[in-house]
Amino acid sequence: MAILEIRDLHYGYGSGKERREVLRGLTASFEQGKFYAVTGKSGAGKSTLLSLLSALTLPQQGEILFEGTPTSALDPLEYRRRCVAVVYQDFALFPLLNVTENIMYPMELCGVPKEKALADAHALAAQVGLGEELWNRYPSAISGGEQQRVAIARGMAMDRRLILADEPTGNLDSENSDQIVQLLLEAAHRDNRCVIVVTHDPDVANRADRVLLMKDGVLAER
Amino acid sequence: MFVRHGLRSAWRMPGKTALTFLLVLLVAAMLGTSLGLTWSVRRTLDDCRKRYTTLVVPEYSTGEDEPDPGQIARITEELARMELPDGVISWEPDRVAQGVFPDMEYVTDFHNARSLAVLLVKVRSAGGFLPWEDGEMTHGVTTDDGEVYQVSNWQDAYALVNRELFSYTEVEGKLISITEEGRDGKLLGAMEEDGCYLVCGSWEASWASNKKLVLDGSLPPLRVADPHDLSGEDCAPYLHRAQSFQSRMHSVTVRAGDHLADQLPFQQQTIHMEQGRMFTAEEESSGAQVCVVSSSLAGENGWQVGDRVRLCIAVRENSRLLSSYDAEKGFDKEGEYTVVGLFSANKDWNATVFIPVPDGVDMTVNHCDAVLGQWKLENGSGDAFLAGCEGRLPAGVRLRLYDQGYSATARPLEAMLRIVTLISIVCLAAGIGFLLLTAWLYVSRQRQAGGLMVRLGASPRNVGVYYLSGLAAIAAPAVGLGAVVSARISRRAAVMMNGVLAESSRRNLSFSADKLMLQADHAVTIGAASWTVYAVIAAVVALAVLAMALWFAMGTVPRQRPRAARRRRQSQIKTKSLTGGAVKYAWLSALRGGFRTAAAVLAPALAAVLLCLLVSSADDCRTQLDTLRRESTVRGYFTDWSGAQLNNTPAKTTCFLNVLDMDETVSGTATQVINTWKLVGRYDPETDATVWETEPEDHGDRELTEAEKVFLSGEAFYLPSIIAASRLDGAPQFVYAGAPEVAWLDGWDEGFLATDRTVQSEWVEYTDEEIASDPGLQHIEEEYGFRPGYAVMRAVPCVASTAFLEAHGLTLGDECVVMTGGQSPQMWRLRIVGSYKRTAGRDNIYVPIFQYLGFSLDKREGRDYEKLFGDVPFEFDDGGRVYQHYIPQEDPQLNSAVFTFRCGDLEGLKKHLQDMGLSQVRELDANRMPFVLEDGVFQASQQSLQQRLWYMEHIFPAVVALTEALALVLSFLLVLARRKELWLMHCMGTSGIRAFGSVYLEQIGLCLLGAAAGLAICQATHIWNNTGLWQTGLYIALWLLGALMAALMGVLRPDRREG
Repeated sequence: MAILEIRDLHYGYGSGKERREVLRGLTASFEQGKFYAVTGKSGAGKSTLLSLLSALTLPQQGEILFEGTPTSALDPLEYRRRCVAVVYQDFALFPLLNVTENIMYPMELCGVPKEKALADAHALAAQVGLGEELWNRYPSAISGGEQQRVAIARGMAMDRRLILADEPTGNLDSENSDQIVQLLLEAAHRDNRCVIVVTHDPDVANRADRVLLMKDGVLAER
Repeated sequence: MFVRHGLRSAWRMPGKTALTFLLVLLVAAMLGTSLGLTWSVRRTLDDCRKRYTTLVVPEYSTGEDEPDPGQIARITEELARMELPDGVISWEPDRVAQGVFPDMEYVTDFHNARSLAVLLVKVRSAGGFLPWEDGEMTHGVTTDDGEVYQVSNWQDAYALVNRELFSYTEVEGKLISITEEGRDGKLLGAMEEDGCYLVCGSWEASWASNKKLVLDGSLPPLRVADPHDLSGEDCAPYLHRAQSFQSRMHSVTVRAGDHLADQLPFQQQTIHMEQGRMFTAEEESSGAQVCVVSSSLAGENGWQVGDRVRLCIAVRENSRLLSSYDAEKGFDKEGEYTVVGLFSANKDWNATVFIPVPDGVDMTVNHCDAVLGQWKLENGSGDAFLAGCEGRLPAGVRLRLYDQGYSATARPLEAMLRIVTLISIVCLAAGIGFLLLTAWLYVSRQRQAGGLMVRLGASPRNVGVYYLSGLAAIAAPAVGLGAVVSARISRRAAVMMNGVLAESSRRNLSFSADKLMLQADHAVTIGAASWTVYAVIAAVVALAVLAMALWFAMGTVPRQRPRAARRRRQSQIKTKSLTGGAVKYAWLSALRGGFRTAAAVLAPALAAVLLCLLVSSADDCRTQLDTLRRESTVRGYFTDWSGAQLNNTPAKTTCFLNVLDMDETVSGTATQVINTWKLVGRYDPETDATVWETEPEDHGDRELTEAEKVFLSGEAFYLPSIIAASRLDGAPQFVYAGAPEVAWLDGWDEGFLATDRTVQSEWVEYTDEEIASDPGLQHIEEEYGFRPGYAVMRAVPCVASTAFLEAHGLTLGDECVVMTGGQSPQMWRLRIVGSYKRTAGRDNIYVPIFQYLGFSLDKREGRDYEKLFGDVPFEFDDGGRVYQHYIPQEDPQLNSAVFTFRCGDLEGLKKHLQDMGLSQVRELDANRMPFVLEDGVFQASQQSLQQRLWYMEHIFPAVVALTEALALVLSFLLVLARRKELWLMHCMGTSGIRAFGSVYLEQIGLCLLGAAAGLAICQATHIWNNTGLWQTGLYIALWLLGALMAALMGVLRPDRREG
């Protein structure tokens, strides 16, 4: 069953003669338990697509259905808190919160009690391979790969079923890249989440269940 | 390549480039202006220190007399041995007289000439007894021309008309009355009506101005048959006098002395050099034939600097009397003198020529203020030196500080320096902040570039070149323009400051460091700093921003090893729950914010301290000014025309009373010195009689007046004066020697000195009934206004020195009688109620301030009516008796009245004095009484404070505005830097309110904490004030406004870019 459906999605920047259509009637569907890789040239609209999927941006035309409900009908805050997580190339961690607190942040946004949030955060940290000695460190005190694991663990908090990743291995070396991709694969296959990764890295794309090519504003199977 | 890329990046970011340009320009202009002005003022101050010389001149004063040479030598030695405070460069003992030079008073003296006159008079009619009006003597006689003239002897007054002054018909004075007694005790003799006489005598100048002339007659009147033929031998003495008089009237005063610049008229700036120069040391030493003349005299005679003029000089022998030309003796010295300088002066000095005195001439000091030498001090150390010497000086020595106006110039400059330094510090702090901001902004926008370049194989050096080349391309023109702007602003500021400086140091200066070379004025001007200074400041600004940018740029370069700071941060951070939402997040963020938190706390704290400090400083200055005006007092006293003389200056009673009667808010205490008195006897209450200690002169036989004899004998210098004073503090004996301890008779204290005049001037009425009731004597009172059997005057309480008491065997509670030594003798019966130990000067006797109304003992009255006053207690040893008939002195010759005024309304006081007929020295007209108000120190202090206040009131608001503006900018930037954090919260599903609160609550808390800390510091350091509190409140509001704007931007327009 598709967890996410995109129907005739249009989106562009600018207006008038300056307007540039990035997405032109994009239609696609994504299922739980699968790892999707979206590739394409720079400027093809991949990041725009992720922004639309995470409800940071609203569609100009068409709709995005999450579990059958248009995202426009959902409370965007609740949608981002409980349903979708975004992992960025630059990790996007709170600099003044330590590893555990960063993972706890979405849980506490949802009102999870402190003890449970703490336990879940530790479990998630362990799940993504963060040693206990790193749990209480600031993001600036751990490596890039470790920071990206924190970001993934934070994304998996609250059992969010949709994980979006924008070039998650862009700042990492190959070894760390492998590990991060492996984590995302496990999130899809083991935890039955839908993971959509925007990437230029062919190694990452090759390990995906499906590879979609963004071209001319639409997604096509590669 | 990296340079090219750096330049290209700058070119392609026009917005950021413009912002960077403006910020660097702002900093360069700000620092260039403030530091440039600081440099200029400091340089001017240093220059000022080099150009001026500070001298401290010790003067020995006995209070009101001239000291003898032995005293001066002793005191000079004491000074030479004295341990001195720091700051002394050299000590030069000297014996420069500031007053009259007895040895070197070259004549002819214009003033002296007035004291001698030869007249050819024709007697029209003889006068009779003086008329009486309402029972009072008029002291004058009405003449044919309807004017009333003073006469000195009303019994033998002659009304003279058709008078003709020999050789001079234009001399003022239309009527001469001739006394019965001549100066030498020779009677002038009666002059017949219609007779023509040659008359010679003294001519009292002070009376001449009021057309009240007295001619005592030093030669008896000579009757001449033909007034047009005076060739007879009998006429020769008169002709000599007339020639002397003529010569004097057409001569100039020649004054000579060493170190003329030290002389009072120069120091008091009565005389200013206009052209040329003063004497050089060599000229002074050799007594060269050079002279300095008044410009008006030079103008009248067509003299220029360099011309040679012929001076005929009559050098007199060493004498305490003023020299004068005598036609019988002729001139003693003639020669040509080269004019080396012209001076401008008032009319008293217009007919004066100064010449140097050769070495070896005894410069005996005979003025009451003797200069003992001079200390040359480091500039600026004068006040500390005076303070250090306080209490250590020999008795009778006071110090005068002559700094050529250094203080008057340096104080405003120092005040300016303090202000511009403060501004520079503020600008420096703000400038560093702005430069950091600029560098950070420039690098942060392209922070990824550094890492990327390294990944692509560039070295950190290449990264640095990339950033610096772009920034340098922007900073270079910015600092250049900043230098130009700051130079222009500095020039305008310098013009403004020069205006203030000219206003505050508006004072002619006495002499310069160049061997006391006289100068009319020192023009101290603050010039803008040279272009080099602005260029250096601009270069430093450019280098600073580049260095900061480099530091930030290196932070973008990935490192192989964690830096020490990073290693430190690897320490474990205890995990906190975020339950509590925005407040908890704000709390955690504040705790862990590091520099950001510190900045948010420190900035308001420093601002609170700064704002309170600024307000407090201005308030303190205002308070000091108010206190100065409220509590300061200045001394004022009657003086002569030039202000040079304190003693023996006759003051009109009405003036004196008017000053005393002034409002209490402006008039304080007063002292006056009354003539020279001498003890003549002791009063024995038991016998109600006076025992004479010194036999009074038989005036019928004396050749000179008593004053003349005493004066010439030198005794006058050691005789006590009676000084009427409202309090001892400020009285001559106490002014220079501190406050000697006074032992009081039981029940007495200093308060009696200020007792109301109506009490102190009372007589104790006592009438001898036997005499009073004698019917044969009643006509006396009707005819002459004297009551027979009149009583003794009341004993006046007084304070005398212990030496005086010991010398005359007196103790506290005793009574004595003293007598004046003047032409009009007065007797005082005194009761000793206090004694003090003399520390300097004479054994003065202090009586209440309102005791100035003395009573003259008219001996002639006593003689004529001897039989009427059998109970009069004064007796001579030879059995002769002097009978007391005291004539109240309606117009006593007051002198040296010294008043103390409060400074609350000094201008009002001056106006009041002006309205009363008094004038400031050198600003008086003919009929005004000159009055010195010693307000120099007060005015200097007031000007200094006023100037500081002016700066504070004009510059501090700008500093406050800048500080307040910085609050807005700083908080905006601090919060804007967290825009990515807000974006992240947005991505995580954080509500806008919570995200906003997370950031804004932190700012509220930190800002309030900092402000509270700052205000606490203010409270602890006593600089707290309400205005500062309000300004801090405004700072907080602006801080929160800036934070609000940035937070709203971050929440409403989420952007993953950093601020």
